[in-house]
Amino acid sequence: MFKPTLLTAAVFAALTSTAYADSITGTVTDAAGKPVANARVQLMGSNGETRTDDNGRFVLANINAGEAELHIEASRFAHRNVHLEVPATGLDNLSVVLLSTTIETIDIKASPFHASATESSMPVNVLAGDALKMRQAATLGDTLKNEVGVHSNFYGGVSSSPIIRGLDGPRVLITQNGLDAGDASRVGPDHGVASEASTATQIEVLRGPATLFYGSGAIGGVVNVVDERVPTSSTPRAEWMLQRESVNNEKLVAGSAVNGTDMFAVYVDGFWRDSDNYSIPGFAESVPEQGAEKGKVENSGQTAKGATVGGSWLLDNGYVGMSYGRLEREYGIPGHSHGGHDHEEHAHEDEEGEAHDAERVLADLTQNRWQLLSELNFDNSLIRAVNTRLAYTDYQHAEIENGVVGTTFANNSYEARIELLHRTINDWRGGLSLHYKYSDFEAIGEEAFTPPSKSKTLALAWVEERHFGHWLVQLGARVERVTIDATDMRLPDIAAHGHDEAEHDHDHDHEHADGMIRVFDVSQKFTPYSLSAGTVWDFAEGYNLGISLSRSQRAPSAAEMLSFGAHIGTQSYEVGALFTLDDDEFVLNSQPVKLETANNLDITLRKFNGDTGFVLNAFYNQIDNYYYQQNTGLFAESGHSHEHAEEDGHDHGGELPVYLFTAADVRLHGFEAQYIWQINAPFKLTLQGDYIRARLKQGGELPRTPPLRISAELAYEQDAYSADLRATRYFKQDRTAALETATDGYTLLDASLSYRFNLGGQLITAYLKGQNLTDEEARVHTSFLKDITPLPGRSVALGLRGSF
Amino acid sequence: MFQPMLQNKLSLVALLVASSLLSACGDSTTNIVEKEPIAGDDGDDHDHDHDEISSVGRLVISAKDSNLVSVYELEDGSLLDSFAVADTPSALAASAGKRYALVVQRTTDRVEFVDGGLFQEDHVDHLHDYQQAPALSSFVLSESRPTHITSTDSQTAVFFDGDGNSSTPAAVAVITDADISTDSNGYPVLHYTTHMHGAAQARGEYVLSTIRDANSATTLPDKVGLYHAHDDHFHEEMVFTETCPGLHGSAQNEHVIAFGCTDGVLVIAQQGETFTASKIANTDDFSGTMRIGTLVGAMHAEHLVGFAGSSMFAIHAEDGEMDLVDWQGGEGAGIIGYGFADKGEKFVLLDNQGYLTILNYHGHEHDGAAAAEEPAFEFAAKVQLTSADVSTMPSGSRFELAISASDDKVYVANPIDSTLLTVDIADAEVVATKQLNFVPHKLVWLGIAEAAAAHDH
Repeated sequence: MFKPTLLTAAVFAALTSTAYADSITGTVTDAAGKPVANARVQLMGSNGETRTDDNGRFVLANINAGEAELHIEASRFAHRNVHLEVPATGLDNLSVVLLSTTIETIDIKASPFHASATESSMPVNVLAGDALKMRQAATLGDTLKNEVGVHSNFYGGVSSSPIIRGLDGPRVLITQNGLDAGDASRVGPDHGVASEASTATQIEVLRGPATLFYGSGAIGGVVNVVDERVPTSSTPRAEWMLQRESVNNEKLVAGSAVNGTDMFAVYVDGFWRDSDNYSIPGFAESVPEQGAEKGKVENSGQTAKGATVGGSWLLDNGYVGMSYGRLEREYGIPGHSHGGHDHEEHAHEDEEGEAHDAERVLADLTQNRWQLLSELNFDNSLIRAVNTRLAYTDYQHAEIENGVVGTTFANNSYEARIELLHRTINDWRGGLSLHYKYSDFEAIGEEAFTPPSKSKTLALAWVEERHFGHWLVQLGARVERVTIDATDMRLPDIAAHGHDEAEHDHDHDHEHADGMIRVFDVSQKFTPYSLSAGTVWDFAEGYNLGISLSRSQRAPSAAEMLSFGAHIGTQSYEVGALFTLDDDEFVLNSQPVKLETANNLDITLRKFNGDTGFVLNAFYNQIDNYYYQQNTGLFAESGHSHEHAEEDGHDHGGELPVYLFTAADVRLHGFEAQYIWQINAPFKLTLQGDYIRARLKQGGELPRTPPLRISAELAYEQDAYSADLRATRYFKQDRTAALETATDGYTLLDASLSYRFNLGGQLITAYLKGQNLTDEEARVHTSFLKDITPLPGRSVALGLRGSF
Repeated sequence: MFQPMLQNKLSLVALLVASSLLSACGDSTTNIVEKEPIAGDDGDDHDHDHDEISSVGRLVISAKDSNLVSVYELEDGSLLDSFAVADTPSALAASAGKRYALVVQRTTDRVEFVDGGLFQEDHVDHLHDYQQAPALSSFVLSESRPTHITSTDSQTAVFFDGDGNSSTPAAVAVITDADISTDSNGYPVLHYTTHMHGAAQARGEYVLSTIRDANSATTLPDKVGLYHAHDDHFHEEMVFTETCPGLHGSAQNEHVIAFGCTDGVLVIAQQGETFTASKIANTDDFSGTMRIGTLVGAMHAEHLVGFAGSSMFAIHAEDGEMDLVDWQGGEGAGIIGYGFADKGEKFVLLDNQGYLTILNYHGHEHDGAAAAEEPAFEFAAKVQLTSADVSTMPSGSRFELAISASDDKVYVANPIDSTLLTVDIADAEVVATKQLNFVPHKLVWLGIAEAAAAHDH
């Protein structure tokens, strides 16, 4: 974003001498003829870029004769492409008219092409600026849950991941500045995402397959958390925020600052947040136990803190920078009550004085992350820019029960991505991307349901785009090689058994044949590829139609292949796809492992000009060999109740249903709609809704599919005040998978009020934010914990943020 | 002119790289090689052997006037590793899980931690034993004057006395082995406003800790408070009205927490979240300035042991009884080491004359009517540890005791001739003597504890 300032300076320096033979000069105005200042004018497919002055004028120097394309963008206007034939003498007095729009048009950084909500062939969401500051929450899923097409898999407020069009886990990639977040959040819903929203500058969502840029993990979409940890300019600036929230006593302090010289820029940020158990209107459990207490969700507090430092070397043709960030988070895992002890046992335990401790399960997460980011422009006649991103991430999280480390998850990962962008060739812009990713994943301990594994990805991707009149055509292809190696995949004899009839007091006399665990050395190699073609057709002034067709493949993840064990986060016993059932007994699967393949069609119709705008998306996604957890109807011992087992002829407390990863063909389709009406200068109304169906081809629904949702938001913004009021209706979800229960609908009412003022050269915003104002008991269908943790009750947050 | 050529070049490069990858586009191969199976990890039978893992445990020994601590494997007596800590340790103590040694450096306000490398993890259906190389942990506590350290099976309370000279107040940190292994800083700390030579006992979410009047002439506290953990700090729940003048010494078992006072023993009983205090007054066996100044307890032992000078008392808190135990101490024998041993079956006393006294503990028989007369602690044997003249003990040194939590061994460091003695307390004999190449100072046993026999049926 800030790189332009350098280039602008260079361009303006050249302005003093008049009449470049090979320059373009022009004026950018709005529809009424008023000049648009500070519009960004970019010569596509090259490094030429400038901004308009107060009179809307711009000069782009060093233009080659021939065809050229300009991309012009300015805040509150729709982006515009202008195709030109530049004569050898240059072009003077070009007039560009920008159309005002009510739709936010911020370019995403996750794509080498210009892609904003109004001009890409695939749908995107961008949350930035004040909107991001107001929506930031302790977890990523909760931060994004009001975005159209995005739901949260709400895990008791301590952990949540975004669900994009009904997909999450290994299908939605979470990146931080374009590189994998490097955590364990794709393996279990109780594993936090290692990123922080309070210090981010922008969070962007690519809805639909984004494997082209990101590979296997992005078949359902990408969420990219962008911050300035590697600064691209040294303009001194700082931001801070303080917030206190009532529902969980959350205290948040966050801030960031950039400073530097002409040559170097440095960045620091830090945050601290601390919360207690959150309040709810009723009981935590949907079917409360006798004697249960109302009003709180136990074990839902957390403490998190982190800091980042970064520095960049600012060059005439770009920047090279590095950063180091550390993140620590300690959070309770609600509902992580092992094997559901009953209350009589507590009385007994209380005497030891250990009862409260015994019930507490904590996750303690630490991440160290180093990044190197660089964007360099070159005068080379073939390569115009080289963008490099490198990361090393050392992640660890321990699950601690009763003061004892139960399971430790560790993920050491390296990633490198190099983009080579070429100069415009026959009007085609684009480039190659080389991508390498290595992850050494390990889980040790009680919940080590998946064996240690090393995954490697090497990929080559190629993307091109070109305008044909009113048609923008985007093409892409990617091929990757994924290897997964595990030297210690285990197949224990777990004596899985059915629970037939009412024989509930049987003491299973498990005959452990010989008590031996078979061990396997597994090495897998996959070569998934992705192809995509998209177009944006500007069929009328202020309208366009985007169509995107893609075929994407995904190599199943190590956890989906190799797992064998109890996973408390999902309350299930998980068995990977390398195993299969033979007469209630697990054996090696002799069938070849298939790649998951998605064929996706996306159609987007947009109106973005004037006081009303809309974006309508419809999609149809046919995924073959979709890996999902099929309920086998069997039960296996979680092992957690063994301490009590001897004493109390054990019930089924310590048993978990056995789920087997199985490939099946599924069909997903749905729509997302957004309508924005600028009623008058201060008032703006936004209506939006989304809906999805996710079914197995052979019949049956997929579990945890987001329900139909509609929302209305009325926003006011004038002078020093802004306010908004939003009502969101989540409808009942009764299209449920086998053994899944329906979830009632609910309505959430949120509101906020902000007041801005200047104090000592700072712009300060004081705000009040209310969520769930009607104190509605809401259970989230997409949550694994829907029956034990409802959404937080009424909450009011008071905050202060400043920037200078 | 040049453009088409460049384009060709580009696509050629792209094709070359692509074709190497494309060879098996959309393909997948899986190779699975079965290896030797391993012994059942999931059986209901818990007798699968972990023969490679030391069940005898390890010892951490510090050297006199030195910042070196050494870790020995007791299986074969080998030196595994030595670590340099910041300063000469004033004491060594085991963490709750007996995985770590707390290396206390009182005068320089620091506690470092040595990972003994032997520990258990709660696996799917059994406790899995781990054996790793010892290591110096990065976890460090650095409040002022760490002194008394108490542990339960799951928590360790470190009492920092603070310093009256520098007006540094006292503090208590309650940590778990997990805090140490994850280098956490989320453990709760109790901060006082004044210094004191105090003691704390952790009870899950609670800690019972001493309170001293800031205007008091002595550094000894005289009250006990109940504190409740909230994230990284404690809230005061109550201060017990029953006072404990000249408080020194504390211990706990399954039911009670006790503190030694000049006038008796303050006993706090826990029923769920309710704590009630009472006092067992000094009996007629107490004369002059005698008072209980040291208390010892074990989770499953019915009795607490109190020492008033070299007199030993068996304290039955629930019955409010305090009985003198005749441990047959020699003339002038001062008690310098003590503890329940052999998984709670025995109690040992180390004295400054070089004898180890072994008592059988019958706590489990106490409430049986038939055995009501039998004393809880019964003299079993006395073992002479050395033939050397104890008056040649180097100044600043003494015999030191470490008790195994996995078997019937105790270990005594003898600074006179720099030896390490292994005593079998079932057979009441020294079974091994190991020559050390340094003068031993403090020592502590680490390893995987065997469950203690319950004494409270």
